[in-house]
Amino acid sequence: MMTDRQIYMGLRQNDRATTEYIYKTLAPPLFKYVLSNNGSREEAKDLFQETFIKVLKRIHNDQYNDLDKFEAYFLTIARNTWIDHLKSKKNKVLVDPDDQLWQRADDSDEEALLQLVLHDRRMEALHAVWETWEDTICRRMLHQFHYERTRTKDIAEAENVPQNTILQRLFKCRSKLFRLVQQRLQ
Amino acid sequence: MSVEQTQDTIQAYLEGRMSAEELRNFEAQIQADPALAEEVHRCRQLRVMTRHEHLLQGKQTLAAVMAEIDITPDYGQHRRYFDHSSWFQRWLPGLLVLAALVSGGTWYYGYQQRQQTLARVQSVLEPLDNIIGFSPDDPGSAAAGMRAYDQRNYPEAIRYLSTAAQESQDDPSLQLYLAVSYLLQQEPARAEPLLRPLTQTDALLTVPARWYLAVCLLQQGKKTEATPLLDALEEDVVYGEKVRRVRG
Repeated sequence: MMTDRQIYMGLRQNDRATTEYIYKTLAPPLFKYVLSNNGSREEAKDLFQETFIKVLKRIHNDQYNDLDKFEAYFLTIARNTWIDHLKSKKNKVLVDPDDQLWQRADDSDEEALLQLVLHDRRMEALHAVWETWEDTICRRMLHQFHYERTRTKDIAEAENVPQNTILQRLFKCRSKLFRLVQQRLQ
Repeated sequence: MSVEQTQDTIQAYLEGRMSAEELRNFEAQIQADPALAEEVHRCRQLRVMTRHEHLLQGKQTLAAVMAEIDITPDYGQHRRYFDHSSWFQRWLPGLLVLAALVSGGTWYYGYQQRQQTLARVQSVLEPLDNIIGFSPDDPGSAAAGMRAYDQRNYPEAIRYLSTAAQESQDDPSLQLYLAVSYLLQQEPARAEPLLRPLTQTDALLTVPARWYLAVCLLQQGKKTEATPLLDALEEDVVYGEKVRRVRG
């Protein structure tokens, strides 16, 4: 049996044993609840996944502080998500998978972000290519620029090359990455 | 400016670091240049993906776990987290039981009180002395009724006195003895209509009529109606003591 503190730390580190423990412990009641409320096994799995991502997001955003009640926290979010799901089932509007969704996610719209993380094929493909991309130089540079928000001038100084070179490399690396994503999607 | 040269501008646009005028100009450029629009979109996708990589990794780990483990649905210890009912719904059965217990208890208490009053009433209920003079061989039904009354044969007394009371309706004393006979036979409902008019008439009979009417009402559980009659008799020389005993 894991303590709440261990679960919290395990989730922060994407620890497989922790994920396995949570699934084994909390999926049975959640599945039972969904199946008892006219839901299917697939819906139960989707609900578990959505709840898991919501909890994960809150942990990484430091929005989850109550370390003593993980089980209650997780299952309450699951229950509320399922109630919202039932309410919106009849008139659910599918989000148009275009640039708007990404823009909304970029503007911290949780619903759009969840939609992308859980269901968007392009996000899945982009992440899958990114995870296995062997061009470590390109990967590091794009990470510096997009995640760490380092400006091209500063990257150029650190690499001791002209800024123009960095600008061209960034553009080429991005083009290369999205070619691979496109191939994966096809 | 080529698309390659706009890297920092795109970043400033996505991070909201542009003035209103710069923003207006840059959005006009995006509208006019599909290649730039595509580059902005790619940058945005990379921003979103890299900033939420931990979620995608978590999802990947979970997917692998879910593919391996088969789940048997079971609430186990966790049923309480899925209870949709409100506080009121959860406690309704308990509240109903409590209400039933309170009303049952109240009823039982009232019942006990009535039984005790009735027992006290019975203990002080005595026949009124016969003050009507009849000779032993008087043939009338009134005399026969009073003889039976004196012998405490109340069914017989009721039979004769009913006839006598009908024959001489202007004799209130016969009405009173008939009513007392009914009371002693535990038939207060029949005694009540006979006693009520007597409490308003002959002064000699008014006091005993009031007493027996009070007893009659108490026997029927009409405590509120009996109270003013008992109050009026509280200081009476003959009935005062009985009233106090009835009131416990």
